Amino acid sequence: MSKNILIIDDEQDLRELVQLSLNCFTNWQVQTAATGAEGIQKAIAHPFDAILLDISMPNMNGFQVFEQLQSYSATQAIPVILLTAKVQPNDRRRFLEMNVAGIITKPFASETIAAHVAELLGWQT
Amino acid sequence: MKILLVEDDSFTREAIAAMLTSHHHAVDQANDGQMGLELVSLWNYDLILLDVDLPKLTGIQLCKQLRSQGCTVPILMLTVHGSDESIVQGLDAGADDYVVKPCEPAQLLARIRAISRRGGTVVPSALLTWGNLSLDPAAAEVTYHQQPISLSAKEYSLLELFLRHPKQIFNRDAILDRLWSIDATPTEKAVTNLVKDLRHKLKAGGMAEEIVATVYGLGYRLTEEPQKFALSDSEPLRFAPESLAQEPLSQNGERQINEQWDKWQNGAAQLAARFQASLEQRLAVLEAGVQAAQTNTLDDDRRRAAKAEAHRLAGALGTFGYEQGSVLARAIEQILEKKVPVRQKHLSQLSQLLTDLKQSLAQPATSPQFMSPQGQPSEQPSASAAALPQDIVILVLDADPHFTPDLKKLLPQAIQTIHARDWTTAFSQNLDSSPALILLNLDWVKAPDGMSQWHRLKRTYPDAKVLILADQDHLPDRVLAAQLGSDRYIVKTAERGDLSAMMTQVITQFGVQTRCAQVLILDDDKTFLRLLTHLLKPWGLEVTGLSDPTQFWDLLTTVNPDLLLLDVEMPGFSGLELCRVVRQDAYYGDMPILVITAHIDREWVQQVFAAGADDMITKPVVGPELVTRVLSRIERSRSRQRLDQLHRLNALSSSTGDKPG
Repeated sequence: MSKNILIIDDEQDLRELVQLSLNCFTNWQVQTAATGAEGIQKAIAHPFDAILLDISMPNMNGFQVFEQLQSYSATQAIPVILLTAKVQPNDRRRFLEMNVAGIITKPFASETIAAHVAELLGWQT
Repeated sequence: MKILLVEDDSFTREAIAAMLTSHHHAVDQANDGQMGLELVSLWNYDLILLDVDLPKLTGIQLCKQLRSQGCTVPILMLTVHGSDESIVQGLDAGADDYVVKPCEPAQLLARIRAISRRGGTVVPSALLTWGNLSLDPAAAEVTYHQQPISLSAKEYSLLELFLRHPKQIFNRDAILDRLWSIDATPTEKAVTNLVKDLRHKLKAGGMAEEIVATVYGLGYRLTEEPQKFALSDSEPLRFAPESLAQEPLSQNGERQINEQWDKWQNGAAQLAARFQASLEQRLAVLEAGVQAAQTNTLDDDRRRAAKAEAHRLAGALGTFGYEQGSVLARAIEQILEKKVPVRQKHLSQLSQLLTDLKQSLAQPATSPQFMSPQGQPSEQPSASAAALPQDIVILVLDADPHFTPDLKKLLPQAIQTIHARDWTTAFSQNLDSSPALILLNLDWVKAPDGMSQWHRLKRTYPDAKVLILADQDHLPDRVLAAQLGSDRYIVKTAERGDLSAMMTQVITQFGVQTRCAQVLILDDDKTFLRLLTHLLKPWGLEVTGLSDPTQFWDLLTTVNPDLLLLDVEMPGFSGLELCRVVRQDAYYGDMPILVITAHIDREWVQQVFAAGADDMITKPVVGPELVTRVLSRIERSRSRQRLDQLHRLNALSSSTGDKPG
């Protein structure tokens, strides 16, 4: 059965590159959001199997988006994978405390990101 | 399961603990309520067995306190008070179940199982199953296709942990915490070994599927459950995974993967072009920040804007093939994180970093799909491009002693030209590889027995392109050459420039390939194998994938690769064991070996190199890094081979008095 994935990232080039990679190498349905607010709206309206979430975004950052997602019954169970260029030990500690499904550090290998996501979620590509 | 037993009577406590341990549970013990409370705050438990009459803090008080703190661990009350009132009091305090002492061990175990089922972490069945693997908590037995698999207590507990929490990733600490009691002091290595042992035992029990996945950098988890399948009577229970080389994808599958890859490369090139076009504007934001810092006019807003841009570039540049750019942008970001004004010592660093960043972005990107600045899909680089030497072999069958030396001058140095004066020497050549191109004087075919020798030549070198060399341009000769099925007709008296053009044309148009470097990849993850194959193929490499380590030596001797890529953690033989095996072999001992691993700690790195690996690639694999390391290793290895060959030729010429030609 095909999985539904939502990518929330304000960086258009990266967002579309991840979307391209998932579209090319998996049969997953991929939607994107350019802001945290748009991402939350889409996540509430559509049953996603996983969300790829950028941390550094203007207005509403990834932490705030994650908090919002956890507060709605419709979205709190969706596994979230963080896409982040934050690599300081403090950042990593904070991510691990967030109970996310995984972390993919930027820059990432776009050719293998589908496999990486599948591995974190225990899915098959 | 990891169970906390809070009981003040030492005899009862020890007896219950022994019984639970014998059923593969890890048990921590506390002899009063306060100690129980402290242990719960320190460790994760799957279940708490709680006596009611406890010193310092009663079972009822402890239960209420835990529930008020949000603790959701299942609690089973153990008490000699069997009155309805006591039971109601215990359940109201937050207990999940209530057992009156003394109780039968079997009943206690059944209640523990029932509680864990109600915890919502397991399938509503007494059996825990994954594909054709079953774990029966009641019998403490593991079977695969109804055949028992003997596991140690810890292996059983680990398997049960994964089966009970199918969606959870456990890092080594969490596994230590769940499987060992607090008086044990194992290291994280114990977990690594335990996972390895469990995988090994399940494989030995006939299980081909990998049930435990390593999640790089995070820990371990249960893999997705396979579709159950029924074995036919004739099908053996043991499963021997086939190598990809011996189990090729169906044509449709191969085509689908190629289409996926083409689509990906085209799309990625276009996105890369757009990204590159935006770089000037992005760098301008950084430049404005750096200039303002130098003139001491950098306010917080501008600093934040420059820092945010540096952060975005750090995240994006590496993905689009500018790895060095990511490193430099991150360094700029770290300086801009500091409060204004920027210190004097950082100003010069900032300026230098920006200059370096611009220079690094002026270089081409380091991924094949990101190399086209026009946004067109990149041409596939051939192995003859900077990365790989041309190891094409040309066999010249011509009695003229001057023709071959003249021909050599027209060709790149890397191309090997072998001259044979007659049919006998033509077939006695000890060639490293089959010739890609044969130049044959037509007179040899016209000579007695020429036709049979021609057929022998075609049988010996079926893939070689044949150029017929004729002394004159005669139509009957052209017809004969056409009848032979040759690929080109060349008049030897033609200008050497024309001959050179002809050679080039044949090499390029007729698809004569340089001898591609062969790479053999051994990894039990087939998806990963395919990914690596598609990362390496665009660089003109022939890639053979193998997922079953037991077939490694057979395939190695068949493929005879130029380079080996070995995964470390595999069922059967580890990559490091196989690395040592190759190093011990007289013929293959010098082969370049790269090890792919998720571990990067110092001790592990030492082990990898002690096993004889030339280099190490860490997971998750970054495409450009993999390609660069593989190509440079092959190039270095081939250069050394050519040098050795030269030394041997020199030694030979010294002993015979000839100069090598």
